[in-house]
Amino acid sequence: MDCFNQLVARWERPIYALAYRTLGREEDARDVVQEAFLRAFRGLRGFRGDAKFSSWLYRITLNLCRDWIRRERRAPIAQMPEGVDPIDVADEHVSPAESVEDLVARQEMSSAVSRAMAELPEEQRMAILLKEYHGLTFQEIADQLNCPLSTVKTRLYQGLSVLRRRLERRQAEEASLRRATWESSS
Amino acid sequence: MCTERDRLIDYVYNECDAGERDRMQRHLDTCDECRAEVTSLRSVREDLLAWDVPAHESVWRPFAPAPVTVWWRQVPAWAMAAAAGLVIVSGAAGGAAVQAFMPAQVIAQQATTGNVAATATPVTAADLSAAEQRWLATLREQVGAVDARVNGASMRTQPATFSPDNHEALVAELQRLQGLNFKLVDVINNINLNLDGIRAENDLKTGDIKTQLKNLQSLVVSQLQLK
Repeated sequence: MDCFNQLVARWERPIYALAYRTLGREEDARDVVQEAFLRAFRGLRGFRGDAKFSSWLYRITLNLCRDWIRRERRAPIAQMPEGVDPIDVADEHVSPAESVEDLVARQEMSSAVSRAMAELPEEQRMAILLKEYHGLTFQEIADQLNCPLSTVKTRLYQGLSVLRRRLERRQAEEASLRRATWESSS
Repeated sequence: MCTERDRLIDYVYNECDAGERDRMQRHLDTCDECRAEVTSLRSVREDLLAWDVPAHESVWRPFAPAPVTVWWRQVPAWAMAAAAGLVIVSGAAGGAAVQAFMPAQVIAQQATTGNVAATATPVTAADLSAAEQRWLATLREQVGAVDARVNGASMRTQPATFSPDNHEALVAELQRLQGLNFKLVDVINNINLNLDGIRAENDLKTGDIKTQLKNLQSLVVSQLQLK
C-alpha cells in the first residue's frame, strides 16, 4: 500500500497535466485523476509487469478523459476564467528572472495555445499531448491510442499544421489590434 | 509538394536512425520548401511549451495505515485454543499421574539410598502421605512454571518491539509460543518416564515386602511350633 502511495506521488503531476490539458478544466481534471488512481489501485493485480506502470496509468487516464468528454458531450474548455485579468495572474507568479511584460505575454500565449488545442479533433489533440508534453515515442502513442504508427504521425503532422495556422492568425490579429490602438492613441 | 514531406515528422521529433537523419539533412540543404516546413514545425512546438498547467494541490489522499489492534487478537483462534488445551491437558495428566502413582515415590526414594534390596523397612501411612505431598508440590511447581510462562505470553499487552504490521514480530511471537508448547510436551514426557521408573521400583519393592512377610510368617509359625 505504501508502495502504491509512492507511485502516486511520482506520477500524479504528469497525470494531472494530461487530464487538465485534455479536459481544460481543473475540477474535471481532479476528478479524473482521482478516479484514475483508484482504478489503478483496484486493477493493480491485473497489471502486467511487461508494460510500464506509467503507460498503463496513461491509458487509464486517457480512457477516463474520453469517457468524460463523451459523457459531457462537450469540447475541452480552454479559456481564462471570467473576471480574471492576465496581469493579475502575472503579478502573482512573477519571478525575478522574468519581467511582468514577458510573463503576461507567456500567459497570453498559454491561453492561446490551450484554445487552439481545444479546437483540434480529439485524435490529433491526444497525439500532440502525448508527444509534446509527455515525451512518448510514436510507437508508444500508437499503443496508447490503439492505432497504426503511420496514423500517429499523420495526426501529429496535421494537428501541428492546424495549430500553426491558428496561432499565426492570432498573432496577426493581435498585431493589427496593437497597431489600431497605437494609431487611435497618437 | 515535396515527396519527402511525409518523413519530416520523424526528423523533427528525432525518431529516425542516423542514416535517415543524414539523408534528410542533405535533402534540407537543397529543398527550400521542406526547410521552411521544418522551421515552422519547430516554431509551433516552441509555442506549445507556453501552455502551463496551473499549480494544484495533490488530489490523492494516501491510504491510511491499517488500524492498530491488540496483537493477540491477530493470533489465530485455533493457535490460542491449542495452547490453552495443551496447558489443561498437561495439568490434568500430571494430576492424574500423581493420584495414581504417588505411593511409589517413597519406595523410589528409598531405592536411591541403596538399602532397598537388603533390608526392607515397613511403610507407614504417614510416610505415604508425606511422600504424596512432596510429589504433588514438585509437579505443581513444574507445571505451574510452564503454565505461568504461557499465560504470561497470552495475557500481556503489546511488546515494545511489536507493531501490528510487523509480520516478522508476529511470526517470532508464534514461534515462541510454539517453543513453550514443546516444553510442555517435554514436561509430560518426563512425567511419563518417571512414572515408568516408579512402577518398576514399586513392583520390585512389592516382591520384597511379600518375601519379608512370608519369612515373618514362617518365623511366627516355627516359634509357635516350638512352643
